[in-house]
Amino acid sequence: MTMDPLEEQLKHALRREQPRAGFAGRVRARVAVREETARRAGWSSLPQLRWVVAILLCVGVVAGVLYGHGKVEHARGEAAKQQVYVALRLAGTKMQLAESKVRNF
Amino acid sequence: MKPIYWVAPVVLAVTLAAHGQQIQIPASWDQLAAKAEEVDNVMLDKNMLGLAAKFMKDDNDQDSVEVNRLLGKLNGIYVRHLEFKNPGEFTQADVEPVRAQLQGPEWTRIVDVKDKNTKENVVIYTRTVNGKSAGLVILAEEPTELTFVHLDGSIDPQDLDRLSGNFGIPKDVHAPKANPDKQKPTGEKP
Amino acid sequence: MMASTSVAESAASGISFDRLVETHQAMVFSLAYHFLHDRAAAEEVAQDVFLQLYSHLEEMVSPVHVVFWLRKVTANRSIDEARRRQRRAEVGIEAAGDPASPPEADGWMNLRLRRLVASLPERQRMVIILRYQEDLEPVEIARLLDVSVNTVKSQLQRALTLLREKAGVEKRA
Repeated sequence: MTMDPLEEQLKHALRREQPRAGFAGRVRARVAVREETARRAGWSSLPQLRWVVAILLCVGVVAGVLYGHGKVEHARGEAAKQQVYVALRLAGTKMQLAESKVRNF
Repeated sequence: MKPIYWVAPVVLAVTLAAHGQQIQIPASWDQLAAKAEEVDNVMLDKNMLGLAAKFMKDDNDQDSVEVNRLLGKLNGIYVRHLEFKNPGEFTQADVEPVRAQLQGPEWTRIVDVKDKNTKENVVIYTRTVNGKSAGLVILAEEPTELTFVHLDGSIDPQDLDRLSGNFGIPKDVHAPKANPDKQKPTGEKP
Repeated sequence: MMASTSVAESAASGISFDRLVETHQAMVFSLAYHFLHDRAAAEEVAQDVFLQLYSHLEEMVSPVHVVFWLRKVTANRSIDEARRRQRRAEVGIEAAGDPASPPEADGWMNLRLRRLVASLPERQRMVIILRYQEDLEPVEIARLLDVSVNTVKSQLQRALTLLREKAGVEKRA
């Protein structure tokens, strides 16, 4: 289908662009936080299980030491890093919201 | 006493300590979370922040460098973010217990904006201890979102400026320039 | 926890979620960016879209379905976000231009055209973006936006007329 000059220019101007580097990682971070939240919600709704969780955590830490401390720490560290980005993203978004309102006063 | 009885209280104490944060989120937020379409729950204490910082060093981009610098100053990051399908899922009764904890002498409300048209309220508090910055709290209410962010530690406006342009953090967010008429907290208990 | 995302798969296509993000991130981000003319907001919308995809992964029946779904959800979320920002009376379109991306050789014209597109009424704007970014025919756009084909065609016509007037471009005879 032949397009006129404006349409050709629009195709060029509206071509796809990549988001900022690391986008996929940031999405993964949010998914990880969501899953962690869901996991915690499952436990926290059963208070008597917190003792079990606490003991299992203890056991889990020991198991991590015995069965590859490095791997466990790597996973935890990556997850923590991604959670930091999620937190800062949310802080930034809400600060921007506040700023937009203050600017309009 | 058998060893297991020592382990359990210690582990419980550690667990509670890990969950302990200066600002307690009301139990009603757990019920709200059950109704929410999206929930973000971040609870990173000093140890976890240290771990995150270690892994951030590997990224070696400017964002990570700045964030790493910030993490060194923080004792914890605590976030609760709920997104609902419909408006009206939470009430002031859910938010008030959080606000009540931010009324003490250490806390100053530096931004307090209420938009009656869009029904959006955002309050930003800073905490000062012995004349030094000790934390930042953002409490944002939108028709379908409720957000609590607590950056616990000596975060100051320069840290935010360094991060501005990233993560959506705008420039000059430290409020004296942004909100000169609303620095003075009103109605706060002494 | 992190591993679960990489093995989460679309039921029918067996493509991992991670792969879907990498394959479609440019499409989703660009749809949002060209609509909102704000990189940060577009990234936020794009992340939300993929997060929603993750929750609905099992419902995806084919790669084509995934693309349709992503376009539809991105369009809806972008429009919602624009309405939210409009209610907040955020800064006008001119100031909302993206300072982070320096114009290339023919960049000024592109930048100007993008700003003009961003100033169109919502529905016309989305129709233009779906037509010229995604190369969709009016019937496909109509299905995506849940409107009639005639509505799409008339919105396309009005948008192009408006753009021609603002851009000062002559239509080829």
